[in-house]
Order: sequence, then structure tokens, then C-alpha cells
Amino acid sequence: MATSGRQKSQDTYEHIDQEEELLGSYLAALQKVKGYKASAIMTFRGEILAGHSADAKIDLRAVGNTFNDIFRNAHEASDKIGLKSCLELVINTPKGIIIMRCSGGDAPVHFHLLVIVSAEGNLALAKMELEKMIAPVLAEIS
Amino acid sequence: MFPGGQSCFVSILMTNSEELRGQMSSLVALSEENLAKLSGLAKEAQNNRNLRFEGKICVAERKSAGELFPTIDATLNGCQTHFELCDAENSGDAFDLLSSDPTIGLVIVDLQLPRLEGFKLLAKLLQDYPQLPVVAVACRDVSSLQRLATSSNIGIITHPLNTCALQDVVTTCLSMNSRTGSEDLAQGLVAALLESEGRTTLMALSSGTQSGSCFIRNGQLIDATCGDKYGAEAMLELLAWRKCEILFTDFSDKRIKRKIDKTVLELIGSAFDKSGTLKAVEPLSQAEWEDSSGNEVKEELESSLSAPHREQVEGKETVRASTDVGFLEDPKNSMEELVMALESYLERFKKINGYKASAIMNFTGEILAQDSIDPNIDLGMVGATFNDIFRTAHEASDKIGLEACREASISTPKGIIIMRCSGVKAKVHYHTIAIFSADGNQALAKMEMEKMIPLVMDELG
Repeated sequence: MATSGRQKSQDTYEHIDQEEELLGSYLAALQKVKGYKASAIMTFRGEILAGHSADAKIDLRAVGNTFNDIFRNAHEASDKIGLKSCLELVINTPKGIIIMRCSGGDAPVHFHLLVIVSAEGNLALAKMELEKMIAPVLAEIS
Repeated sequence: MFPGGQSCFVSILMTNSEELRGQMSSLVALSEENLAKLSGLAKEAQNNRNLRFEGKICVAERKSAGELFPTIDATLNGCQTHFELCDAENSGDAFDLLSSDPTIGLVIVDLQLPRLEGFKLLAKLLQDYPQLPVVAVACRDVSSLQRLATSSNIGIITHPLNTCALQDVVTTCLSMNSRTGSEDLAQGLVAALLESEGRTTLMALSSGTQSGSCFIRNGQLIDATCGDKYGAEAMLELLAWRKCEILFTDFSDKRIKRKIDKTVLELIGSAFDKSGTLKAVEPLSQAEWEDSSGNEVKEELESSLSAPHREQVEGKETVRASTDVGFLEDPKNSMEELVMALESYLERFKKINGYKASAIMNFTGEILAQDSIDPNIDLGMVGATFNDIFRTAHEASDKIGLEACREASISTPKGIIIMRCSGVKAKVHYHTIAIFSADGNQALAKMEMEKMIPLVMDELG
């Protein structure tokens, strides 16, 4: 189990690298999606737990927070009109699509996933992969 | 660093001596970037010392925006201030506060207040409260207007708010002993701000027995009338007035062709010589003016804009803004027609399965037409919030090289919110929002939104 490894390496902070590596492995599935540009796993506050970018222009450390803020504002706004907190946000631009997915405000751990694909990228597959990722990532970080 | 070195260094950074700053930076081998950062810190420290304020600050902003309050609180808390914030949601609230509470020492106005409330408040403050420091919070870059604002003795700052910049502008405003010159060019500043914020309105001005109007559409100065003058000549005369009353009317007649090919700022620049005297302007001939417009429109504009309307108010003869005659009926009809046309487009959404609410907004978030069949959804209240989310998404996606976004879909367990933009570079930049239940036909909704764009653009154009 991952927790035993974590206990052993607690003093050396190796577990942080290991955790990032492990979370990073979940992002590997997204990298196979057509048109993939970048992806990240973030806490709901916007801290990046694992990230990957195949596009030099996309620095997730710089823009991840902004998209996270947009998503959190969308959470509040949709809740305000009685539709409950949002689970997914899709932003379409002429050159790409940004998809954000939330584990759910009531989930044991509230985290956000972000994936960016090109405009002609496989949006449906990216959404499916994000959906599949939620349970294992939740298990890993809870 | 030696004792007292920090304050000494700060003092050097605050000096205007480039030589001294250069020597100091080479002495401690500072990079340009770090030097700039330190200069900023020094300036901030200086501001903290200079900013002394005791009293109340009236903040006029949309409740849903709620951005100014915390920023002002954070900015002034570190300074030598003892202040209390009071909020106003519209110009009426602000004036009630001002008339009832003489301890208000500063007014901060959000120009994004709906229905031009921010502009109404600014115009009234410039006219009625010349001694009161005012800070206007604009939405677009207003750097070109800073000089004009300074000459009118008001502070001006843009969204998103930056603590240092806010502190700077508040310090400058409070340091002004009085805004005695504020009535000069006040109408010019208001018109220039309307232009830069991309607004549409008919501004009616009156001063003593004179009256005139200027029409700004989507941030373009279209036409002006003043007595028997029109076009640029009339605008120049309006700009030269002192202490004039300004009224705003919803008016957006797209038939009126542009007859002034300069911006307000350009007109101000070309109109006044170095001594501040108004230069003579070559008047446009009647024939030229008639040529530039259809006769029907010319007659409408002429009859409505140039005729001052006199009425008895409490036994005193006053000249009311010319929008009160003829023009008032036409713009209302025209506005009603526009709203009806836009609402007819929203009708299309109502036929879609799962429909809850929809609205058409301008890009600043002002609702142009709306509809809701869900009592929980009042787009008048939340439309601006979703618009803010969409605009932030515009900026963020542009930042990562994907260009400004065209569409955003927010999925929740109980519904879906779809936002669509006509395009940042389109002839009219507007936003549509539609809300459906979770099982609603979002694909059809997106198709309808796409089809609507050229039609709504024509309507708003």
C-alpha cells in the first residue's frame, strides 16, 4: 500500500516526490488523447499536486490558479441559482478547449482536474478519462 | 546593511536623481527588476506615511461584484487612517448618503454600475460636490485619460484593482485641497470615459439657458448638437461650457451615421490652445451635414436635439435637457423595439427541452434582454457574476495562446449554464447566457446560440 511507503520516508520528504510521481502517472492516460496539450491535478484551492504540459506556451504553475479561480467562482454562482455546485467546466476557444472537473464538494477530498486539448482534440475522450481518473485519484490522496 | 541604511536607501529610491539611483544600484549590484521592486516598496512606504485620512468612504459598486470593499479595506488599513466604509448600489443611494452624512470624505465610483449609474453619479459629483475627492474605477485602459482626469481633479483607476495603484490614486485625491477646477471639462471627461468604456448613450447637457446633446454609440462619438450648431462644432462648444448639468438617456438609433470623426480626447486636444482658450473651428456647412445623413434622420436629430424645452418648476424657469422633447419618445420606442427584438431571439430557447432562463448582455455584463421561467434564477442578479467568470476565462485562455474563448459550459448536478460570446473582435461584442436543466438539450441550445449571433449583432450594430 502507498501509505506504508509514505510512513517509511516521512522524515526525508521522499513521500512528496513519490506522491507527485504516482499522481503524475494518472495524467499519462490523458496524454494519449488526440490534441492533448496539458493537464494537472490540483487541490480545490489551486495548488498543483501534479502537472504536465506538452505545449511550451502553457505554464500550468502560472495559469492553473486562474482557471481554478474561474472554476470556484462558477461553483458559487451555480450554487446561488439553485443548480448545486458545478462539477465540470468546458471553455471553448478558437485554438483549444479547456476542461475542468471537480471531484465534488461533498467528496472525501475536494480536488480539481484540468486538461487542455487543441480545438480539434478529442473532447469526449478527454472527458471520459477525467471521469475515470476521479476514483483512483481520490483513493490516492484521501 | 548598516543601521538606518534601509530608510536611507528608500530615500534614495524616492529621489528623482537618476544618477544617484544608478550609483546606488551599481553599488549593491541590483538588477533592474529588483531595483524596480524596491522602488515600488519605497513608494508604498512613502504613501503609507503620506496617506492620512479620517472619515467615511462611500463606495458605489454592484453588490454582486463586491471587489472594491475588501481591496479598499486592505489598502487603507495599513495607513494612518481611521475610516468607515459605506456602500451604495446606485447613484440615488450615494446621494442619499452624501446629503445625510457630512463625514463622507471620499467617494469611490464603479463605472460598471448598471444602467450608467456610475456615470450618472460621477457627473453629479463633478457638478454638485466640487470639494469632494472622487476616484472612478474604470473597466478598460484609461491611461490616455489620466491627464484629463487630473485636470478635472479626480482619481481614475482600472479593474482589476491593484493595492499600490489604489493607494496612489487615493493619496493623490486626498492631497487635493479642493476640486475648484472640476467644473472645467467635466462633461469632456464624462464623455471620454463613456467612449473608452464602449458605452451607448445620449448625453443631454444644459448650462443656464443653453442646452445641447451628444450621442455616443458603442464608445464612438457619433454626433452632437448645440443651439443651431451640430457635429464637431457643436461638441466643441459643449466642451467649453462650465458648470453644466448632464443627463443620460437610453438611446441607440443605428440609423444615425457618424458625423464626428474624432474622439472626445482629440477634440479637446485640438480645441484648446496652450492658454486654455477655445480655438475657432471651421463650421460644417448645412449641405455637408445634410450629405452625411439621411434627411429623415437629420430631421429627427435636429428637431429633438436642438430645441430647448422650457417649463415652470416651482415658479422658476429652467431649461430642461432636450431629450425631454420628442427625442425622449423616440429613444424609448427605439429601446423598446430593440428589447422586443432581442427577446424574440430568446424565445427560441424557450422551445428547447429543459429551458430555465436566458439573457443577452453586453460584454460588460449589462443585461439587454432576459427571460426566466425558474423563480430561483434572477439573471438580473447573477448574470453579471457569470459574465465576470466568462470574461476571466477570455483573459486566461488568451494568456495561454488559445485566443479569447467563445463558449463556456458549466455543468452541475441539476443543470447546465452555457455562455456564448459574439467574439472579442466582432463588430459588436456581446454575450448570451442560457440555463437548462441537467437533462436539457444543450446541443440544440448551442446551435441556436450560434445561429443567433449574426442576427443579434445586426440588431445591436
